[in-house]
Amino acid sequence: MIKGFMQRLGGLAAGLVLASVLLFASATNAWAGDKIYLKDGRVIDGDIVREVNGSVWVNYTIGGVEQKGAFFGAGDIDRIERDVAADPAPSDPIKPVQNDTAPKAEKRPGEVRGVVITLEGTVGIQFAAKALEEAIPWLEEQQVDVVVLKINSGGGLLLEIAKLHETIVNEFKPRFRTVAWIESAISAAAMTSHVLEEIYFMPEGNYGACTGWSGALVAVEGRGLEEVLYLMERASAEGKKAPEIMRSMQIEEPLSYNKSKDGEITWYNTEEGEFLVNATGRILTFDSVQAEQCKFSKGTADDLETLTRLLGYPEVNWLGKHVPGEIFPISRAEDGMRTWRDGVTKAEDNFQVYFVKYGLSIANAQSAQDRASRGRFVGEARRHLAIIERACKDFPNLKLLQGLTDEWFEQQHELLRELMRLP
Amino acid sequence: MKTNRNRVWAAAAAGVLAALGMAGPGASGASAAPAMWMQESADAPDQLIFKDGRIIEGEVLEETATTVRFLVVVAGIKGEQTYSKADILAIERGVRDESGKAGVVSEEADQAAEPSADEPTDGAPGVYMIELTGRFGRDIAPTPIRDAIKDAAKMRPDYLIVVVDNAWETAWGEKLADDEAAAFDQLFQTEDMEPIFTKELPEMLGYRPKIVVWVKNAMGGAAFLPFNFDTMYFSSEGRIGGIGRLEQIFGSTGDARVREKQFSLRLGHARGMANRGGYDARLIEAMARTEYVLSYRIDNGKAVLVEGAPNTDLGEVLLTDDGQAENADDIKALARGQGNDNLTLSASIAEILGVSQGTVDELDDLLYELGIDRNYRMLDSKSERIMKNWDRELEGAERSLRDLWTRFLNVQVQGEYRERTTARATQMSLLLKIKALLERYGEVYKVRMLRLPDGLPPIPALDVLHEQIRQEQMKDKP
Repeated sequence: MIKGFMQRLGGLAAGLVLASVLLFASATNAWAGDKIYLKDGRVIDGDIVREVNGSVWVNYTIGGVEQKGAFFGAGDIDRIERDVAADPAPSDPIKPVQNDTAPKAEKRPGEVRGVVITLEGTVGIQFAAKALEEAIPWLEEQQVDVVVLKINSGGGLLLEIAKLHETIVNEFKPRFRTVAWIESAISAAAMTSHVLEEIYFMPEGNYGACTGWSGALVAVEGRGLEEVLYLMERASAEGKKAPEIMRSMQIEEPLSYNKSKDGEITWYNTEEGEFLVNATGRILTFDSVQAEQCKFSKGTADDLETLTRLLGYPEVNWLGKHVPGEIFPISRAEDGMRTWRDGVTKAEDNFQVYFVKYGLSIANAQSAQDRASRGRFVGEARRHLAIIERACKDFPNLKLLQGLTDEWFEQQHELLRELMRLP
Repeated sequence: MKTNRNRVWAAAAAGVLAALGMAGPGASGASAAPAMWMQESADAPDQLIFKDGRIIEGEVLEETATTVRFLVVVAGIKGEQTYSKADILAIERGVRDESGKAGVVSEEADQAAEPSADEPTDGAPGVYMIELTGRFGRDIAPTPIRDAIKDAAKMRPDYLIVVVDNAWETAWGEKLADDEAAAFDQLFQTEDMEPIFTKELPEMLGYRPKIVVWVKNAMGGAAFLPFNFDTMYFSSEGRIGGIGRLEQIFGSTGDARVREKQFSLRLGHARGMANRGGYDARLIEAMARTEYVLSYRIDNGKAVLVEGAPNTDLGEVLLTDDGQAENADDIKALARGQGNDNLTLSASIAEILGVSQGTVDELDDLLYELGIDRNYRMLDSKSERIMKNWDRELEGAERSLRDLWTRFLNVQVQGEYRERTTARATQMSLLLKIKALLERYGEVYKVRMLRLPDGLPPIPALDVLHEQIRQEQMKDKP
C-alpha cells in the first residue's frame, strides 16, 4: 500500500514542471571513511583521532606495529574516506576516549530508546533525504524506538519533497515511531512533514506557507500547480490529515472548521465553519496555538521532558551526549546530520568563487605567451576545476543547481588539454 | 561558540598567509624544537600546532596578524620564541583546562568575577540586569548578548531584567519613522537572539530564572524580543512598534499569491514569539498588517480582543483600522506617533491590554512590582561593559576597514619585479585583513549595520580580487 503510494508520488514528481525543482541524487556520507589517501599515493587505513583544518592525527598499524597519533598535513592529503561507524574526529587535543554516546548495553525490558534528528536549512540542500537515510543503520543497531525529526527550515526545492516522503514513509515509519517536532516548517519543510501522523510544535512553532514559486516571486500555475496540489492531497492522506488544510497553505483558499461535542473536527475550504483559521485571499501558516486548538498538532513542547510526556511515555532513554546549550542529547545520527549540513553549506558558499577563479585561470592561460606560463595557469585551472568537481560529486544537487553536466566537465578537461598542446 | 570561531579563524588566517608565502617579521618557526611543557603553575598551557604536526606547549605572550610570540619551557628553562603564523596550523589556548577556558581570546566574560563573594545568606533573590541599548542588529547583537548572558550565568541569578531601549535609527544614525516599512524582517535577527535567553541560559544554569523585560523603546526588530517573555513592564515613555506596513515590503514584485505566502510565513514566525510569551498573537497581526482591523473591550476587568471594527454598544474600542482611503493615517497623526493603521503599543495601551504588567520608571519601582524590593541582591553585572566593549570593537573595526581599504587603493604596482611583487603581496595581505574583519563581525555585516567604506566590495568579490592579483603575479613571473 505504502509502496504503491510512493510509486505514484515518484511518478508525479517526475512530471512536475518547475524551474526551481531539483532531484537529489547521492552524496558522500558524512561519516564515511577513515582511509586517508595521500597525494604520494599511499593509503593510510586507521582511525582519525583528531582533525584540525584538514590536517589529521591518525592511529594506524604498520606490520602489526601500532602508530599512535601520526600526523598528516592537509597539504599532503588527497582525500579522506571516513569510517561509517565512527564519530567525526574532534578538533580538540587528543584525550582518553570518553564514553560512547550510544549505550552498549542490551536494551532493558520496557526501555524506550529515542533520538532527536534535526532537519534544517534548505530542503534539497542541507535538509536532504540522503542524509536522513544514512542514519538508519545506526538507529537500527541501537534499537531505537522513537525518532523525533526536529524541523527548522524555511523551505527549499520542491522535488526533494517526494524523495523525503519516500524515505520517511518507506524507511522510517515502518521501523520507528517517527514524529515531527516543529520549530519552523515553512513551505517544502511543512510539505515534507505532512506525511507524519504525529506532529508536535514548539511554542514558537510555525507550519505552512506552502505556495510554490520561482524567480521574482512568480507563482507556480497551471498543470504544475495541479500536480503539486495532488501531491499534497496524497501526502495528507498518508499523514491522516484533512486535505483542506494543506490546500489553504498552498493557495488562497479560506479554511474554517466546526468542532462537535465529542471534539471531532470538520474542515471547510470556505468561511462557513465556526472557527476561521484562514481568511479568503490569505495563505495559511499555523502557529502552535492554532495548530493545537484544531488538533492538527498533538501538543506543544518546549523541552524534551514535555515531549516525552506528550508522546505518552513515563521515560525515554534519549540517546546521545549532553552538549551545553543544546536542549536534547546529540546522538551519532544527529552528529552525522550536522556534519552533512556543514559540508554542503561550505561547498555552496565557495561554489561561485571557485567558478570565477577557474574562469580567471582559463583566461590567463589562453592569453599566456609561452608554454611555461600557460602551464602554470592550466595547473591553477585544474586545481579549481578539481574543487568544483569534488563539490559536485559530494553534493550532486549543487551540480544540478548550477546546471552543470558531465559533458561540461569533459569539455573543460579537453579545453585544458588543448591549451597544453599549444606551442 | 566564540572559542571555536577564534580557533578556526586563527588557523584560517595562518593558512591563508601561508598560501601567500608571507612570513611575518621575526619568523623563526623552523628553528623551534619540540618542547615539553613543565607545568609550574595551575594554569593550563597553550599549544601551537604546526603544519608539520609538531605541537609546542607554553604560553602565548603576544599575537599579531602574522606572528605569535610564545613562551616555551623546556626542561624548566624558559625562552621566548616568535613564530610565523604561516607555519602554524592552529593555536589552542589552555588546552588542559577542562573548565571552558580553552581557546578563549580576550573574552570579556572571562574577565568577569567569579560568583559574587556576597553569596546569599538570607536567601535573597539575585537580580542581574542587562540593558540592550543602541541600534538593533548592531549594538544589540547575538555576540554581546551571549557574553552578557555568560556573565549572568556565573552569578546564578534568580531574576534577569532585560531592559530594551533601542535607538530607532539606521546604522548611520538617521532617525526612522514609526511607520517605517521594511523593518519587519529584523524579526529574523531577533530569532538569533531569543534562544540565548530562552534556551542557552537555562541550559547553562540548569534552571530557568525569571526573565523580566522592561520596555523603554522596542522598535523594529527589537519589538519582537519582549513578546518572547511572559513578564513585561513598560516605562512611561515605553513603546513597541515599528514593524508595520508588512504588505509593502515587496512592493508590486511578483504575484499576489507569493507575496501572501511571504507575509504569511513572516507572521507565522512572529506569532510564534507571541505564543512563546503567552500573548495574543493577533496583536502581532495588528502591528504588522495595515488592513487588519482590531478592537478590544473590557470584560470583567480584562481586555478581550475583537477582530473587526468596534461595536460601540458593547463598549468596544478601536485599536487599528484598515488604513484604507479616509482611514489612512495623515501626516499629523504620523508625525505625532498617533497613527492607527498599524498598532504601536504605548505604556498605557499595553497595560490596558494586559501585555504590560505595569508602568515603572525606576528600578526600585520595578523591584517593588516584582515584590522583591525589600529583599534582593543586585548582582555585579558586567553587561554594560560588555556592550560598550562591543560597540568600541565595532567602531575600531570600521576604522580599520576604512584604513585598510584606503591603503589598498593607494598601493601602486610598479617598478622592478621585486617591487611589483612586494606591492601585490601588500594588496593581498590587506584584502585578507579586510575579509577577516568582515567575517569577525559577520553578524553585523550581514544585516548591513556595519558602516563600510565607499566602494568596498562584498566578501566573494574580495576573494575574486585576491585571486586576480595572485594570478597577475603569476603572469608577471620572469
